[in-house]
Amino acid sequence: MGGVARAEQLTHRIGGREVLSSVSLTVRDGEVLGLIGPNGGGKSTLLMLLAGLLRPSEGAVTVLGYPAHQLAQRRTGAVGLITASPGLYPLLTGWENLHFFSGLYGLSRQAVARQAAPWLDRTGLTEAMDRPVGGWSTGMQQRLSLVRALLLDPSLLLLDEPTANLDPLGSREMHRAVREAAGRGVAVVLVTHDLTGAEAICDRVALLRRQVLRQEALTGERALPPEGRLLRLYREAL
Amino acid sequence: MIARVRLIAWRELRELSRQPAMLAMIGGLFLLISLLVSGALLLLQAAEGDPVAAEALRGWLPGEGAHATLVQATVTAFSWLIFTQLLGIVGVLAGHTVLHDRQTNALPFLLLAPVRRVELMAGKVLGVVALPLVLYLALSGATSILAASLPITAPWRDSLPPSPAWVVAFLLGGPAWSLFTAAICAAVSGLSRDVRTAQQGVWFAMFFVTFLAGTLLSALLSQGVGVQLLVAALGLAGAAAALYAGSEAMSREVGR
Repeated sequence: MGGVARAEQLTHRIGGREVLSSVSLTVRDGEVLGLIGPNGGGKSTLLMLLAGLLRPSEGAVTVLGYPAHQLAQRRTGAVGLITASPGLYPLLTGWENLHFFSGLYGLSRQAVARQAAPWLDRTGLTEAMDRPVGGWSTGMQQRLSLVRALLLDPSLLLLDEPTANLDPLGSREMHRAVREAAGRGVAVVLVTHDLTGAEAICDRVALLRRQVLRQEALTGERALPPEGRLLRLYREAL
Repeated sequence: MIARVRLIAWRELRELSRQPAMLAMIGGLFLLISLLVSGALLLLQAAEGDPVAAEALRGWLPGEGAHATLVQATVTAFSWLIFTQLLGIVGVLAGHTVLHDRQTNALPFLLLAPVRRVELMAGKVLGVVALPLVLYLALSGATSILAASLPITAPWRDSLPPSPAWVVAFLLGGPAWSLFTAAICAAVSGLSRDVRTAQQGVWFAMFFVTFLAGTLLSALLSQGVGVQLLVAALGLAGAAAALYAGSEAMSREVGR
């Protein structure tokens, strides 16, 4: 497995306040890396740095060998993003949202319809796609966000608490989709507070506390870890 | 580049077209001003040939030339209003555009896409300008033509079609300054974290822009085509500068 994303000695400050301090990590293809830790620990900031949406104050982030902030122009669609808030336009229908965001990557309407069909079928969204997403449930919106991310066939999938607003079935479907993406060689970084979910789907877990990457806990070679192991690690680290 | 700008503009326009209250208010404002001006000028036209009305007018506005003064005031106010209402509406719409992306959390997804910030801003500006511009061309244009067709407005033909200066101001100057206003207000929207801040910033910017542009476009109509071409060019240059500044200000740092 090769390194898809690499962060080296990342330090990030916002308004003079350090929100990440000398963090280094590598995410390999086909791997699901969980980022856990208390609120304000810098998890989402690290994710935004990996996405290239923030530039580090110090250190470097590379994705597929390119500086992360240049990736949008140099390797279109290499990074897929899913956040707790789906980031869809509520007055547009499901199809209009999908066509709009995919269109920004140059995908034609026909290509979107063709590529999205199996995903929509699987996520049960096909019937709702002609209705404005503002009237959808949060779970449905999140599933469309998942389809939007996977449609571009990304090499790196970044998820920021994707199951925060989902019911148990929705969470399970999200987890399954993430594992499948990893099975196809996609490198996944998952920010979550759901330790049980993280134990179930992550290959490795990194714990961020007070802006520092404290531990990396191997959860085994896809063998499920002992129940509650992450919770113990979490408590010890705190 | 053009395809992406068009797509972003289409998205803005599509969302706007799904807000009935907003559409009613924008359309209503254009319609109201057109109806008021048309009504006033038609009444004044009717009053000119009617001795009873003329006498009543003299009682209301004593002195010679009361009728002509009213016609002039109506034409002057209208030629100022058609520009300022366009700029005002465009400013209000643009002042929410980037903020809306932030509030729906669509902004990170836009910035992750291979879209340059200037394309994003240009698309947004065109998207918010499109609908008001259509209403401006249709309603304000029709009202201007009606006003110009009335004999009582003959002394003020500089401020009405088909005066070349008016045509330049209406077809080039108004749209150019509406692009400028939209770019400025979209930039304010991009810098704002919440609706209140955006409103305050937009009203501050619009106060100066609408008065400046409205005055330049309407008060200088009598100066001829050359001056109006310069005014339009100034608007376009301002729009380009505001677009560039706005795209620079809309930092990629979404967590800023």
